[in-house]
Amino acid sequence: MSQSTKQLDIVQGLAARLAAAGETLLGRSLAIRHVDAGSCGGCEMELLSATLMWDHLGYHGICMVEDPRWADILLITGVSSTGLAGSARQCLAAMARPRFVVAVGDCAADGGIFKGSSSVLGGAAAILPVDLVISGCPPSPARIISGLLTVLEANRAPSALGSRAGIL
Amino acid sequence: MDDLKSDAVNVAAILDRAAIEPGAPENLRVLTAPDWECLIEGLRNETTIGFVALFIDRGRVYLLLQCGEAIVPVVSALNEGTYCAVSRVRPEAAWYERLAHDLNGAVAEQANDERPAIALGSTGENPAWPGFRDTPGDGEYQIGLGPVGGLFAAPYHRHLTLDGNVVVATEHRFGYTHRGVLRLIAGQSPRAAARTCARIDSEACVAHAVAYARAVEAASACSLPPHVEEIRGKMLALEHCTVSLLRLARAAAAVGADGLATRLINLRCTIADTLEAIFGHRLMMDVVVPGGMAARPDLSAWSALGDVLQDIDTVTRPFGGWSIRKRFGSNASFAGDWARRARNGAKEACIAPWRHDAEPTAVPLPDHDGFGIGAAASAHGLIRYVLSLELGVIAFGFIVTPGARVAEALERASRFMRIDDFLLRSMLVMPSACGIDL
Repeated sequence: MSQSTKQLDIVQGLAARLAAAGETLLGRSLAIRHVDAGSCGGCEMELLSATLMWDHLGYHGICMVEDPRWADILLITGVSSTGLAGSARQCLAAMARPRFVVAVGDCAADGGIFKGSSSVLGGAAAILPVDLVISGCPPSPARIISGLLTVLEANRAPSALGSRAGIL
Repeated sequence: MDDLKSDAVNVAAILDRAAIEPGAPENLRVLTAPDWECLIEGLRNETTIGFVALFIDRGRVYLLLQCGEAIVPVVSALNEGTYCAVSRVRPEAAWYERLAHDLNGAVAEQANDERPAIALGSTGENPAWPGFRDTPGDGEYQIGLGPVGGLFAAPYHRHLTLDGNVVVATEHRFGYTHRGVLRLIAGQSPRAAARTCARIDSEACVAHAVAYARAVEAASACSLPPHVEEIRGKMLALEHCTVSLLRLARAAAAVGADGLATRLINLRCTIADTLEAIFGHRLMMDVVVPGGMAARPDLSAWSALGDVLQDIDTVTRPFGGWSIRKRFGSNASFAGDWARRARNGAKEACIAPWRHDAEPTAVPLPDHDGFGIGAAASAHGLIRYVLSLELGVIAFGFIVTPGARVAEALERASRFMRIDDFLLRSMLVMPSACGIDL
C-alpha cells in the first residue's frame, strides 16, 4: 500500500469517527486552538505534520484556528512554564462551551524530563482542567488526531455534555 | 590608565601571561581583574578575535573567545558580584550579560543594555517582563505579537513598530519558555543529563545531544571508536534534512502552495517513520549519549531510508523554479537555502551506509574530572556546550545556541521590509524560542 493511500485511509477513518461523534456536540466540525506552554518543539513538529500532511483533513472539518473564541479544543503541548501559565489560562477562558482541553506529549502529561525545575509548574493539569492526555515523546501525527477524536467520542452523549459543562 | 592602553593593543600578550587552570583538554586562562579590563579594552580594536559567549558560575565570569579555529576560554573572579562589561566593545555580548544578570545576579559594569533578558515568571526572583527600547515616531504605531492574553502565535513576544505596512523596527522578548535547563543538568550524571539536553529544542535535538556528548567526552578525556563520530555525522545530516523539509512545508503552506506543502510533509513523515525503525525514535532523541551511542542502530531499515531520501531532489526542485520563487518574492533565496540544506543533508547521509555491525558503539566514560567544550552544527547554526565535570557529575554547564543572534539579525534585517515579507522571512529563519530560552 502506497504512503498516500495509507494516509487517505487513516483520514477517512478519522473523518468517520468525527462524523459519528462530533455531530451531537459540535456540528461535525472540530476547531483546534494550539498553545505551546513551554515545549521543546517536538510535539509541534508532529502537530504541524498532522495538519499539513492530510490536505483532506480540512475538508472533513478538522482545522486549526488562531482565535480561541472559535475553538472547540484547546490543545496544549510542553511543560507548563511559569512564563506561559497565565496566557494559557486566558486562552481557555476565551473559549466558548462546550470546550475540551487535550494535553499532547509526555511533557504536557506530567512535566516530563523538566519536572522539578523551579521554572516549571508541571504538566498541563497543573494550570488547566485536562480532559485527555495523548502521551508520547513526541506522539505521531495519526496518534494526535485519533486522540482528539477520542475526546469527542467519550463526550458525545448529551448527559456527558452536561457533566463536562459543569467541570469546565 | 597608560598601562591599560598599552596592554590593550596586544590581547595575545594578556592571554599569554594568564595563569593556566588545567583541564582536559581545554585549559582555562585565569585573569586578574585588571587583566580582564585590559582584555576587554583590547578587544575593541582586535578584529581577528571573535566573541562566542559569556556566562557566570560560582563567583567567576567566563568568556569564550574565537581565535582562528580555536575556542579560548578565559575566566576571572567577580568583584562583589560585578565584572567589567564585554558589551561595551562587543555589542553581541549584551544578551549574555542580561542572561547572566537574570540567572546568576551578576552585574556587568558599563553594559550597553541593562534590561532583563528573560522573565522568570510571577513566582521567580525577577517578575518584571523585559521592556522594549523602541518608541514610535511620527506616523508610526506599535503592535505586539505573542503571548498577549489568549491570543499568541509563538511563545515569544514580538514588538513591531510600523509605518503603514512597512516595518520600522522589531524587537523580540524571550523567556516565556524558560525551563531552567542549566540548573537542572548541574549535579546530574553525564548520562542522566543527556536526556534533558536532547529535549531542549526538537529542531536540533541531535545537534544538542552531539554537542553535549562531545563536551563531556572532552572533559573526561574519553576517546571514542572512530565510527561513532561517523554515525553521529550521518544523524546530524538526517536531522538537517528533516528540519529543512518541515520549514519548507510550513513556508509553502504560507504562500498558498498547499500541494507542495503536503508533498514535503508526507516525505518528512516517511523519513521520520524510517528513522524510528532505525534508531527507535522519530526525532532520534536519546540515541547519542556521552561515550558513544545508547543503542546499536537497526541497519536493516537503512536501504529503505536511502530510497526515501532519493525523493528529496524531486520534491524540493520547485524551489528553484520561477513560479515558487515568485510566490516567495524577496525571501526566495531563504527558501532556496532550506531546499539546498535538505538536499545536502540527504546526500551526506546517503554517501555510504556505515558497516560496523560488529564494533562497539559505546565506551565507558573515564573517571576523570575536567573542563570541556563540544560543538555540533544544527540547521540554524553551531551549538556549543561548555561543561565542567567534578567527581563524576556535572558541576556546571552552559549552552551557546545560535537563536539569540539569529533573532538579532532578523531584527536588523526587518527595517523597511513589508510586514508580509517580514512574517514570511521570520517563518523561514527564526529558530524556536525553546532553543533560546533554555
